[in-house]
Amino acid sequence: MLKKILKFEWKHTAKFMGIVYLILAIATIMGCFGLHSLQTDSGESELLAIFSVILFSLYVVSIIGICIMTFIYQCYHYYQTTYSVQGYLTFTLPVKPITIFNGKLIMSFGWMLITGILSCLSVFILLVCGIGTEFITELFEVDWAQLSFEMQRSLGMSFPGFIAYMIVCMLLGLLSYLLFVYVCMAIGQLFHSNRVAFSVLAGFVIYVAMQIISSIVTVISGYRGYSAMLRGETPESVTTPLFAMSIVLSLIYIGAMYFGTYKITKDHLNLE
Amino acid sequence: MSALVSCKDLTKAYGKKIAVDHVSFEIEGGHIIGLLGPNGSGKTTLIKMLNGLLRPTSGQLLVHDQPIGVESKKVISYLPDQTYLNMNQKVEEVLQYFAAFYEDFDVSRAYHMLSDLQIDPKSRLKSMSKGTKEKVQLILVMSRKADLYVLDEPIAGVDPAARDYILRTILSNYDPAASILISTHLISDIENILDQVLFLQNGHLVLDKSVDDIRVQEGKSIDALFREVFKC
Repeated sequence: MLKKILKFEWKHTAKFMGIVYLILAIATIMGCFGLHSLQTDSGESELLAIFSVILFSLYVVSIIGICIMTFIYQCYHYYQTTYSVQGYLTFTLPVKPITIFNGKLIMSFGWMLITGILSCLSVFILLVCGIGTEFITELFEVDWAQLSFEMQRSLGMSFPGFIAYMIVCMLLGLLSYLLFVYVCMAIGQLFHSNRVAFSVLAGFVIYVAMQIISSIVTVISGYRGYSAMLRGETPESVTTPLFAMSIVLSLIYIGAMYFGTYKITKDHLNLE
Repeated sequence: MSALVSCKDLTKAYGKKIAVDHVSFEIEGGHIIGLLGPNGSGKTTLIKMLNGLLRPTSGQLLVHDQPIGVESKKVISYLPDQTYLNMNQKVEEVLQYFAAFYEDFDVSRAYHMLSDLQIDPKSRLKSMSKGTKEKVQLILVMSRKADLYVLDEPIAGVDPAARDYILRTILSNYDPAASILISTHLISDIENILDQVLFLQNGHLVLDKSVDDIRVQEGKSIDALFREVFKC
């Protein structure tokens, strides 16, 4: 059943996302043109310079807008098919609520991931178009062994380890953004009226609670790290628990929001 | 033999307001039941609980002796009182969706009914009139070989000619072993097809009787009895 849910989620969202990626492609071409013009500008045409700046600015705005639009659309689609009148169809399908929820979450996460990857690709293309391929050659000339050694010395983590950590953090961040909105919607639908207002209120309460917990954990971890530093321990013994703690904390938030949304949808669905 | 639907002391409260209050009844297979009552009597709330869209506050609701869940959804075909489809979709896409999820969905029957009503399967729902959308929804619901069809106000938004077609569609497309639960205000239009009626008033079940018994014992039509019971 999960396969079927994914298939139809794809069908229902692919058209809109296709348009989003078409806009991204157009924005990239515009950005390339703008950046290339700026790079090769001899100062003869002021108009061309202004036009290039406008194009490049539009590109920056488009990239940010596309990422925000993807997130908003995914949340809107989830709301439409779950808690609005279309939810009547979704929740009368002979499918377990967890399968429906997983299907929607996986597809939304997938689209956000694709948007992120395509945005990075767009920036890469822009750099190639704007400043040529020299920077790629320069990348190969970097002394990676030295960089890795320096990072190990200061952060207690190798360069590949640091990149892996950043990727994990980014993926967990995407997932937690989605689940944060989902759990707020789930709480909001429990109420008879003013559901949007209660969703926003739930979001505020959850956000503040998460910030308080994170601050406490950071202070404790920071204090332990500082003590370790004073004792002259290796950077690794200071930073590793900090990095690990941030991932564990993200996983706890994600787990809590996932099961919160699932339990509310399963046991307290309220399509009045 | 166990009842198709068994409802015992079912209650649903929205905060302090009780929409359905300790309602108990049973539905056997092969019956057409009218769920009748004025606005706000709890009909739609009861139907939504039967379809798993609302959770009861207390009481028991079983379908084939099973609580509401995946198994009950396999045997209940539900028509809500409003348009619940994605308006950007084409009719044929909705048919594919139903065929994928409901094992009992008969695609050829659906296409046959669409052709009867001259509805183009390639047309988008958003381009259709309200009445045509309702007909499409009814076609989707009646194209399933379900044990129970739950129809919430199936004839409310359409003209009298379309009403006749809808009632004919309902009667000619359901398996006689299956049951139909119809909620409506338009009693005179459907009373000839009913076997049993459930009268709801302020969330209470005030009458659960066979139509024959009502006619014999009360000597009046369901419409006349309804007007008498719910006199303002």
